[in-house]
Amino acid sequence: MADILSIGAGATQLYRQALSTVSNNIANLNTEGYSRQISETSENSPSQQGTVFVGSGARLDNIERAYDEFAESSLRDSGSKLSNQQPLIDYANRVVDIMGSEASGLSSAMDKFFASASSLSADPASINLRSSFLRDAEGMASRFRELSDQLSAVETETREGIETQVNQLNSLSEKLAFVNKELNKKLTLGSQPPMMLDQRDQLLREMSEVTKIHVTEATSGQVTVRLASSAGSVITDGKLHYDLGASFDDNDPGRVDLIVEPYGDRRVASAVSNGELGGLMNFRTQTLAPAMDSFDFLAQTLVAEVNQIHSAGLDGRGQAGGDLFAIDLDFTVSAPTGNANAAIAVEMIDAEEFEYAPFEITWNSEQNSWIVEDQSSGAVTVAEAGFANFSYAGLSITVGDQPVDGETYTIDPKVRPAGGMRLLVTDPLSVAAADTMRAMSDASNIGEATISLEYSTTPAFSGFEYGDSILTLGNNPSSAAGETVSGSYLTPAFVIPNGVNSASLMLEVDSGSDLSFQVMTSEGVHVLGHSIDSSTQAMLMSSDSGFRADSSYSDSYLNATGSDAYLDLDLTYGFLARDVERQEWLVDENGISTESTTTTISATATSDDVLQQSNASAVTVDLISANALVLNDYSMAALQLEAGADSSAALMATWLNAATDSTGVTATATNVITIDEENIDFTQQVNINNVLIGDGTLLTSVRELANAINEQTDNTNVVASVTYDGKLQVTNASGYEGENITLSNPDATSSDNALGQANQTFVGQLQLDAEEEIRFTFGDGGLPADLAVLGLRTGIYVEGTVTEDLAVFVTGTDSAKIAAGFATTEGDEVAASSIAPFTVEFSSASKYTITDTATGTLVATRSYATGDDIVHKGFTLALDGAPVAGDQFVVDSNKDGIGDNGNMLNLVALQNKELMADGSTLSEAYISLVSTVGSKAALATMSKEALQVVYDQAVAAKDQVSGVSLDQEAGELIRFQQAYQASAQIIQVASKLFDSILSIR
Amino acid sequence: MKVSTSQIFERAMTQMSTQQAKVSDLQTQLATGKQIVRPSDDPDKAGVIQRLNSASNRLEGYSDNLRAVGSRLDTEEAALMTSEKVLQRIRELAVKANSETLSQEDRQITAKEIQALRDQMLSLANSRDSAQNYVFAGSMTRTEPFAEDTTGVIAYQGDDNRVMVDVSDQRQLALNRPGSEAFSSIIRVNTSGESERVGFFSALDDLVAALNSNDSELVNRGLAEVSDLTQSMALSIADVGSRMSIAETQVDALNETKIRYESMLSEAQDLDYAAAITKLTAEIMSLEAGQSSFVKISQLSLFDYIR
Repeated sequence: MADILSIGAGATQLYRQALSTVSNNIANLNTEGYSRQISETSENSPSQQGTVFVGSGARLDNIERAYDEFAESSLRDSGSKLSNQQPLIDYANRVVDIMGSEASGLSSAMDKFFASASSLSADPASINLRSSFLRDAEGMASRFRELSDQLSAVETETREGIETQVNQLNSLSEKLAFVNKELNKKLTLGSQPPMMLDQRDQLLREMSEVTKIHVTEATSGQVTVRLASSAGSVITDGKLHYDLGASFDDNDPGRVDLIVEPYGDRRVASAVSNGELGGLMNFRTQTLAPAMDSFDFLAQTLVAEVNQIHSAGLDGRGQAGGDLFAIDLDFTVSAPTGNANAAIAVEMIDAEEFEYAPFEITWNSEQNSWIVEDQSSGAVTVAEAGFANFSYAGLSITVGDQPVDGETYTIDPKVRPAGGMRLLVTDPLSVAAADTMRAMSDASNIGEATISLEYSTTPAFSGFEYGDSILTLGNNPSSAAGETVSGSYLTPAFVIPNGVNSASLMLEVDSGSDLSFQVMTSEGVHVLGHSIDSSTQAMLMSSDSGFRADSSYSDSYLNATGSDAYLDLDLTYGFLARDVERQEWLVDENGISTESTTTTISATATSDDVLQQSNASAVTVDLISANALVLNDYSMAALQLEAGADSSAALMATWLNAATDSTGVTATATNVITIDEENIDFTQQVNINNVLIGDGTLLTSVRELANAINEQTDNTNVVASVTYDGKLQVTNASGYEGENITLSNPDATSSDNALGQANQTFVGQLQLDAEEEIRFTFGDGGLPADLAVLGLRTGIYVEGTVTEDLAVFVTGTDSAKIAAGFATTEGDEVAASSIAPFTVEFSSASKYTITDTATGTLVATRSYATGDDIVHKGFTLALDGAPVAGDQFVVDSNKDGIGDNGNMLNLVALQNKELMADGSTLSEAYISLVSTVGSKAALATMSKEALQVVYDQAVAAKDQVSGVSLDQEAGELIRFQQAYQASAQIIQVASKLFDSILSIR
Repeated sequence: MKVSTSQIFERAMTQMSTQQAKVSDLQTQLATGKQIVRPSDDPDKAGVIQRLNSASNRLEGYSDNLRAVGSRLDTEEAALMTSEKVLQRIRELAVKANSETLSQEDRQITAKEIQALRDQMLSLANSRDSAQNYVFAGSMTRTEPFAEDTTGVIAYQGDDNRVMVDVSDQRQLALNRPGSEAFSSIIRVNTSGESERVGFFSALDDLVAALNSNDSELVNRGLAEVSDLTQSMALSIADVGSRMSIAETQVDALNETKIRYESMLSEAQDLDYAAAITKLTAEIMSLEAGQSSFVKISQLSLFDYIR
C-alpha cells in the first residue's frame, strides 16, 4: 500500500507540475520570443520483489523548451535578408518620387529653360522675353540646388539610420553579453533556465535584423557573435562585448566603414551584408552615391555647355556674353597640424577638371613647392615652384604668407556641384542672344550675289600633312638639343602650330652650306625666307602637304616688318638679340617683397667660333659679299680677306665696328684657350704662333709654363695666366684681341703639344652689344651660311602668338641641326584665332582675296568657281548668285544686331544635342538617372516579395516547434488534469486499501 | 501541422492590411484619374511620361514661335503689298508723265505726287511690328533701316542677316527678309558706261528729279527702273507669301503631332476607369471575405467546449 500511495503521491506531484507547465505556456501565449515548454517525465526505477520487478511510479525529469536549432538559425538568416530590402525600397522610392515628380523634378525646369530660349529666339530684341529667359534660367538653377539639397537630406537620413542601427546593435550586444554571463553559471545547455535561452535567441534574432551575424554556441549555451567569418569582427564574446562605430566620407556618400572599437584599437570590420544596416549601406553605395554623382555631372555638363555657347555670343549691348551660370564652391580650409595660419584663398578656374575631392597641401622648402595629396585617391602631385600661387585640378590656390617646411592645410569642398549652381546674369540686356560675327555684302557691289555666314568653333584648316610640330623638339634652343634634318623642297620640316607663343627655330649650318629657311602659311603666303622662283613655289606649295589647292603664292609680306608685316606679327629671319627688362623685387626688413623696380639690360650676343679660312690666292676674296647681310636695317659692306691673310674674330670685329655708326652695334673679339691642369702634357714642348715657348728644356709646372709663355709675348702677341682653380688660360695680348692663336709642336711627329691641344689654329669669338637690338637679316643672296661665317646660328623668331599653323621648310641639299624655343601655348587656340573680322574681295569673277581687317594683311588669294563656299578659319561663307570683279563681302562684329538670334538658336539646339558619353541628351540623361534608381527599387521590391515567402516559411517552421497553440494547450490541460485526477484516485485507493486492512478485525 | 495561436492572428492581420493597402492605392488612382500617382509606382512609365511631356512642351514652344513668326510675317506682307500698290501708282504716273503731250508744269506736279508716294514708301520700308522691331532691318531691329546717310541720300542702314527661327525639331523658318533685298537696289549703267549700284529710294529720287528737270531721257530711264523695282517687289511678296504658307502648314503639322503626343500621353498616364473600378470591387470583396472569415476563425477555441 505504501508503494501505491507513493506512486499516487508522486504522480499527483508530477501532474501538478505538468499542469503548471501547460498553464505557463498559456500564460506566455503572447510573450515575444517565448518557446513552448514541455514536461519531460520518466518511469521510476522498479523495485525487485523476488524475480518480479514492480514499477514504482513516474517522476518529472525536466521542463524543456520546444526548440529546433536549425529552425532558429534559418529564421535569423531569412530575417536579416528580408530586412535588408526595406531601406532600399523606401529610400530609392523616395529619390524617385523627388526627382521624377513633374512638380519638383528637373525635367520640367529644364524644359522651361529651353522653351524660354526658343521664345527669345523668335524676338531677341524683346526685353520681356529676355527677362523671362533669365527667370527660367534661375528657375532651373534653383531646381538643381533644391534637388541637390533633397538628395543631401536623404544622405543625412540614411547616415542617421546607419548610426541608429549601429547603436541598436551595440545595445543588443551588451544585453547579450549579460545573458552570456548568466549562462556561464551552469555548465550544460540542458541545465540552463529556458527563460535565459529564450532571451538569448530573441536577442540574436533582433541582431540579425540589423545585420547578418555569425553565431557560435558553446556547450553552456553561451554564444559568440561575429559580423563576418573573420575573427576581427567579433562584437560579442562571452561576457565581453565590443562597440561598433560607423565612419563616413563627407565627399563620397558611397563610402561607409564600420569600425569595431572606434575609441579603442579601431579595427575595420569587413563589409557587412544584409540586415537593415546592410540595406542602408547598400543603398548609399549602389544607389545614392551614383545618383548624386550623375546629377552633379549633369549640372557640370550643362553649365559648361551653356557657358561655352553663351560666352561665344554677343549680348544686347554688343558686348561679348560671359558665363550664364556659375558653380559656387565654398572651401573649408583647416590646418590639422595646428601651427599653420596663413590666409589661403581657393578659386575655381576650370569646373570640368575639378573632382570635388578634399586634398591636403604640405609645404616642402627643399623643393620650394607645395606637395598636394588627393585625400580620396591618395595621389600625390608636386605643384609648381613658389608658395604664393599654384594651380591644382582646376583650382587656383593663393597663399598669403611664407610657410615653413612641413606646414600643412586640408582643403575641403563644402558643396556638391549641383548644389552650388547659380545664375550669374541678372541684366536682361546681358543675355547673349546674337552671333558674334555677321557677313554683309558691300552696298556698292555690282554682282547679284547674296551671302550667308556659318560659324563653327572648329577651324576649317586641319593642319599640315607633314612636318612635326616644333613642340616635339622640346623647348631648348641651345644647339646641343638640336635634331638633324635634311633640306627638302617638298615637305615642311616643321610646323609652328596655332597658338604657340614666342616661337624660335635655330638652324646650325656650316659656312659653305646652301640651307635656308622658308616659312609659309597654308594659303601660300610666304612669310619668311628668300625669294623663290615659280617652280620652287610650286614645289613648296603642294596640296599634298596641306596647302589649299585653290590658293596662290604671295610674297607681299616676305620678311616684312612693322605694320607691313604679315598680320603685323613681329617676325625675324636671321639673327636676333634684344634688350631685356628685368623686374627685381625689393625685400623689406621682414623678408617680404613689397615693390619692384625694372631694369633694362641692353642687347648682347656671343658668337660661336668664327670661320677660320686662309686666303692662299693672290687676290682679295669676299668672305661675305656686299649687301648679303643686313644689320639693324643697314646693308653691310663685303667682308674681305686679303691675299695670303687668315680670317679671324679680330678681322670680323673690325668689319662690324666699321659700321657701328649706322648699326648701333659694337663688336668685341676675344680668343681664349682654357686648359685644365690635368690635360697639360709636360713631356712635350709647344710653339705658339710658331715661336718656341721656354728654352727647349721640358717645363714642370703650370706656373712655369705660364711664365714661359709670357716671356715670349713680344714675339707671339699671346699672354697666359693661371686661374684661381689652377687652369691655364691663354689669350691674345692687349691690342691683338681676337687674333688667331696657332699651337704646334717643335717635334713634327707629335699630333699634339705641351698644352695638350691639337696642333691647330684657334679662332676667336665675337661679342656683339647694342642698346636695343641686334638684328641680322639677309640681303641680296645672303644665306644662313653667311651668318655662320660670324659664328652665328640663323633663326626664325616669331614674337607674340601665331594664330594659324605655319609651315617651316628647310630648303637646300645639305643637312643641319635644328633646335626650337617657345613660350606657353594658348589654351583656347581656336577662339583666339577665329574671331577676327575679314573682308573677301573678288578681283575677278574667278579669283578672290581675303584680307584681315585689323591689320590689312592679305592672308589668302584663291581661285573661285561658282558655287564654291568661302571657308576661312571657323567661318563658311556661302554665296548665292555670281559675284563680279570688285564685289566685297565683309565679315565683322555683330555688335548692333540686337535682333540676331544665332547664339540663342545654338543654345536651343543644346536641348537635342547628344552631350553625354552614352549619346543621350541632357534631359534623357536625367530621366535615365531617375529610372535607374527606380529599377533598383523595383528589383528590391521583387526580392522582398520572394524573401518574404522564405521568411514566412521559416517563421512557420519555428512556430511549429516552439509556438503555443491554445487548442493544443487545452488538450494538454485536459490530459494532465485527468491524469492528476486518476493519480488522486490512486491515493484514495491506497487509503481505502489501508482502511480495509485496518478494518479487519 | 501545428499553427500557433499568435501566428493565426498575426497572419490574418498582415493579410488584411495588405488588402487594405491595395484598396487604398486603387482609391487614390480613381481619385486622381492617373495610373501612376507617384513616379515610384512605375519608374519606367514615369520616365516615358516625362519624355512625352518634354516633347509636348517643345511643340508648345514651336507653336509660340510660329505665332510670333506669323504676326511678323503679317506686318511684312502688309507693308510689301501696300508698297507694290504704291509702286504701281508711281509707275502709272511716270508713264503718263512720259507722254509728250504733258507740259513741264504738269511733269512737275506729277513729280510732287511721286515725291509724296515715295515718302509713303519710305515709311512702309521703316515698318515696325507689334514689338517695335523694324521689320526690314535684318537683325538690327532697333535701327531705322532706311535713313539718310551723311551725304543726304537714303541708304540702307540694316544688315543682311536673315533671322531663322526653329519651327520644328528639323525645320527653321526665316523671320525676315532684309531690307536690302525687300527694297532692293538696282544696277544702272552710268554715262561713262560703268555699272553702279543705285539704292531703291535713290532711284525714285532720281525719277522725281528727272521729272522736275523735264529730262525725258532720264524720265525714260526712271520708268525702266521703276519696272525693275516693281519686279523685285513682286519677288519679295512671293517670298513672304511662301514663308507664310510654310508657317501655316507647319501649324497644321504641329497640331497633328500634338494630338498624337497627347493620345500617347493619355495612354501612358490616364487611368482606365472601368478596369480600375472592377479591380476595386474585386479587392474590396476579398478584403470583406478575409474580415468575415477571420471573425469566425478567431472565435474557434477548444476552451469553449471545456465545461
